[in-house]
Amino acid sequence: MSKANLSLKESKVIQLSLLMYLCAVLASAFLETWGILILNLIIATVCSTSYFILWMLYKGQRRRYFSLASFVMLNGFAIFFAVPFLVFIYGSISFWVGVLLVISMLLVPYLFSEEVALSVNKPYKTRLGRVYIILSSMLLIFGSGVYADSLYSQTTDPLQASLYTFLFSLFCWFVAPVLLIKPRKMDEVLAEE
Amino acid sequence: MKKLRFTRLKRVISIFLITSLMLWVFFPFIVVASAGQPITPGDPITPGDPIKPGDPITPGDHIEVGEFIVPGDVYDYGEGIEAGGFLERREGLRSGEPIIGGNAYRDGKFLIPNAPYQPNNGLFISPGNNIQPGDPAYGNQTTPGDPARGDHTQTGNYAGNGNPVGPGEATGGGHGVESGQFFEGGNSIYGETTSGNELGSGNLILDASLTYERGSLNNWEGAYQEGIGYRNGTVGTFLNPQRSDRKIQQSSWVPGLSNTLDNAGKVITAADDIAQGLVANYANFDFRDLGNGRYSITGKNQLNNSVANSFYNRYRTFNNNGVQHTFGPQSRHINQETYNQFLADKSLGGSSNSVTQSARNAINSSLNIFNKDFWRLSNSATLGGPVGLGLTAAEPVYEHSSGFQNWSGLRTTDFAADLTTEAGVGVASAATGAIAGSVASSMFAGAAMGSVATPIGTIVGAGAGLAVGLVTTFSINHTSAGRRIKEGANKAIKKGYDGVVSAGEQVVEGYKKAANSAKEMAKSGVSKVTSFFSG
Repeated sequence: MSKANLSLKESKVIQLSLLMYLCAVLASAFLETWGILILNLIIATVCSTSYFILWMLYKGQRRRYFSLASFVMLNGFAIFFAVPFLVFIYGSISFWVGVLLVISMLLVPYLFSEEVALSVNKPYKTRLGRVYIILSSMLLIFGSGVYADSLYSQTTDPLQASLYTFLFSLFCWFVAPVLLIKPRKMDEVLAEE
Repeated sequence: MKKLRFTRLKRVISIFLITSLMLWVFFPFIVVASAGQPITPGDPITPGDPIKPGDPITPGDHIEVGEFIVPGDVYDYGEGIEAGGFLERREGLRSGEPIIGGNAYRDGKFLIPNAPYQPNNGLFISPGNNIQPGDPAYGNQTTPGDPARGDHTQTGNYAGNGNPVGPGEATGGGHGVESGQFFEGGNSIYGETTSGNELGSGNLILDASLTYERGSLNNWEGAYQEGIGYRNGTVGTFLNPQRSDRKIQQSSWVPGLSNTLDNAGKVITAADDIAQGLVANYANFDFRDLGNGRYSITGKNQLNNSVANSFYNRYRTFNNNGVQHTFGPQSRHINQETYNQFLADKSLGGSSNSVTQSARNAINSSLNIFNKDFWRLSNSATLGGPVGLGLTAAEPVYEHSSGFQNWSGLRTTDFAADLTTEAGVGVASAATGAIAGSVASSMFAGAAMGSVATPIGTIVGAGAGLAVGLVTTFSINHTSAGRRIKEGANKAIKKGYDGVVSAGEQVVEGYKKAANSAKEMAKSGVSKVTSFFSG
């Protein structure tokens, strides 16, 4: 925990807020839907306000502030990037599978946040951690492939991109609850094994 | 706090979480599989009743002969169907893409109709009195001046007969023509002013025409200002839109072009470094230590391919204390200081295999996503990043070379503009991706969940960077608004290149010139934005 209070500049509230608006606009421009743009902008505004409130409340506790702000950021990202895929597959059976995945990824990790915390911090020491590190690497490799494809050709299917962003959203939701653990508790979790 | 024990419950939890993680892998397959309806086995087909033979067919009545069918008119042949145009590759057919209902385009503004022209303030011009002829002009007769008088030109001495002109001696010339007196003019013409009768209500016309003339005698800007100042306002409103239109036409593409050129310059720099390093490597360029503190250059003196040769020559050129210095083909006995200067200019560590190292460094930081430098903001700003000129250049090169067949298309400004635009899209997506990646991972670094640096921050940062970069590329390439912006940029850039490249000049030279001027511009928009996010 830091002795000095966190300044507004150090807290990156402004950069983070601008980033949220950037993502909000990009994710909806991708779909060309006004309704989703408005929804995204509302979410971005809520996130930006949360950052500022968090900074006001926790400017004396550096780690706590960054943890909570990261939590809000991850949830914001997850919503922005999950929506395009769900819009694309709406009306098919896989849409409901997608919704089920979102709900389970939203709820389950909250119940076992300490297990997840241990796994993502020391991935090579737990089974879950090993799976986590392999899957996240695969996710990045897949994403790089789609990205390279999108730069190479102008006729790449947008479904590919939305599939990657959806998987990234699930990943964000998986990690998010870890950030709610208080720093002292986190130290204790990591001290045990 | 209770100790976490490895209980049965914990084992169940781990298995459950592993299962849900594995769903990420299987989910795409579920999507693909669910796209088509699975065929479920139905009920077995039960054999029906045997077909019973029917009654024998009895012959019916004879068919009566009807009337003859009168042949109708011959049909006229229609016009041949014209062959349609070929599908362009850019808008190639894509199968299986879901059709998403678009929304009405609401970006535009309402067109406000112009108000009809209504002269306000104007007075009706009533006809004045007839202009009465004035007195004829009287003037004194012009008195003739004195005739011009001047001395005759004195003849000079003849040059010596046949002798060569003595060294140093000037040929004695005659005296210069002395000027005569100026022609004295006669008296100026004095005439009386025309004393016509004053105009009556026609004065207003006079006033108007004088104002306008005064303006038009000055420069155009003056005329414009005068027009505005004209109390009636009609001259001003007439001139004003013309003037402002002209300004917009001149300036609208200039900032966009300069920004894009700036970015293009950066892309070119990154790709250029790679190409130089690779070519030099091919030519076996290296330094040989002569043992006495001096070095000589090994490798080929020249390459057969002119393009490769130009890269090679530029690799051998370096900045030596502000002076451009080139290692010639036969450079020998290079001293230690020059050697160090070369390595410093090329950012090489002085290793023996310096050329390979430089190529490797350039490629590593530009194309390898597992390299730390790849995700650095400064790297993305100078456009290493994932752009990799090879990727963005592939499509324009393919299009303008008729599928890698006819390379002459690459010498056009069309190609240069296309390449720049594509590279610009890459720059934009890499920059936004880098911003997202940097901010996201720095937030995690601040959270510092454990005592050691966690890999989550890196992974989340990389994932967010990729996601944002992806949606940026798709927003430009796959949406109607994005394509409009891209086409507009493309046209503006092409216009710019056409302006830079003069008629006889090779396009490549002009392109280089444009890129160089862009490079020398002040900090670009991209680097400004990224430095803000990294601060």
